Amino acid sequence: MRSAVRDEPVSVLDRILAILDTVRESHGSTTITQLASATGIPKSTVSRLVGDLVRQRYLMRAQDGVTIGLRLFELGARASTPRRLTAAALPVLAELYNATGEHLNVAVQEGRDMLSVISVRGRLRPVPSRAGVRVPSATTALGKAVLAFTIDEGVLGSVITGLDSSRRRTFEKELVAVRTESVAIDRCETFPGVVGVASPVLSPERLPVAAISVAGPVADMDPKRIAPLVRHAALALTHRLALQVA
Amino acid sequence: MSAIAGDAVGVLDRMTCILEAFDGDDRGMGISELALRARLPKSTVSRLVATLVRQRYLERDGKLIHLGLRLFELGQLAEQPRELRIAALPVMADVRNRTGENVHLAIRDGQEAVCIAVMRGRAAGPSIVRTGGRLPLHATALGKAVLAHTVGDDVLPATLVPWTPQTITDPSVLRRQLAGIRRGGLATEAGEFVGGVSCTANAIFAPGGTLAGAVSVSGDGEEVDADRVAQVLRAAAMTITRRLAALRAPSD
Repeated sequence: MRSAVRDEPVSVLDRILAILDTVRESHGSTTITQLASATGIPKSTVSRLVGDLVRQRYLMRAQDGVTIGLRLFELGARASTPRRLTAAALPVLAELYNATGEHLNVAVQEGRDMLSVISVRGRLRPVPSRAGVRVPSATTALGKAVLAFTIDEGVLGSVITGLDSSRRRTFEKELVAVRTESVAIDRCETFPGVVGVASPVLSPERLPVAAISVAGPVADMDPKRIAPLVRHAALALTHRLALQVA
Repeated sequence: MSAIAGDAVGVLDRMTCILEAFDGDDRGMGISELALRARLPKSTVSRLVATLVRQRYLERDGKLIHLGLRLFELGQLAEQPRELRIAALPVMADVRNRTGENVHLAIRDGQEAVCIAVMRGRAAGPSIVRTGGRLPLHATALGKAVLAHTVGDDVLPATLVPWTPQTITDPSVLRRQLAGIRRGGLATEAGEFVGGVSCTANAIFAPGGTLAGAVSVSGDGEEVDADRVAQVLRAAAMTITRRLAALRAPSD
């Protein structure tokens, strides 16, 4: 997409979205200079577009650049998928928290990442993830739970591309096991000292819509004990989502 | 050059019309309804929606269009609500548990306030304000708490729009109330925004003493122990200030 911005005449909307996307990739705050170099849009044009985005409250001026504005917070709070998942998941998460006391996440697939839409703090410090934060699909339990059931070859391919042939075979074997068990495990592959256990939430067509995970310190986190609890939570969430649609 | 700028505002305006056509109830819309509500030609809407769906600002579910995941992700990165939410959420849960009522958190944005978090009370009816919802400053307790502590000669909105027959529309009456709040009183409101719902709020200050926002307890006006609510709210606002200081400490 970056090269498209440089090489071809693009619409104003594409430029506006490229600017917002760059602010997102910079974790919510950046400068005009960085925006210009990341998007390939001339700096004067970036300045002008940012001015418009600030006036319309999509962005806010900060000390040395721009940050996300309140309009995006307001619109984001009305986004459909997080709202539906949150409504369905809250009682399920409460039960899972009572049973484990650990860090919980419900996340959806977003490109090669998993995007957390709801998070409950457990005892892990620092907190490895929270709502609105992405974690890599390739290593997290959340990611593997969804990848095992995806039929999107492109997504699977993009995750596997980075692996050498022996690691690729291991990874594919792992996904087969996830399909059988409906549970994926991350043994300190993403965050040092943190074990994650996740189970997929499937649509009636058995396509992955989300995953739910429990994460805790490796010293006293027994994946065997947690697995049935997470599996049960994922089934409960699947069921509650089906009721929501009906 | 000005033609490009004009075009940018045009496109941005149209994007805003489309996104803001979706209200809080998460009801999906087809292209025709969306065009009607955005007051734009259907062909324009179709074209912009295609791009916005590709970039995940909108989601398509069959024929219905919804607000998409990218907006959620961007919104979660908004710094001002994020910091105050992290500091306030556990405190709000505590206030909710102690009072059984709905608890709201808001910040000021221009001539309105934006609700940035809601906790539903067990005993309370459905909350009338959603996270991300905008509130009039003069007709809500949250707004009055914020107004009372805003420095400036004339902080009042130009016109005091009557939301209900109880809304205060006389600037001198409102100024007297704000002066009382400034002297240490709590901000209150009885049926001034939505009939039958009353609310009490307290301002929240950042560690340096600047205004950060306000926290409120609202209910249907019956069986609310005003003294107890006042005590709980004052303690909550102080705890949130302390938690904000702790959040900011490492980087200072």
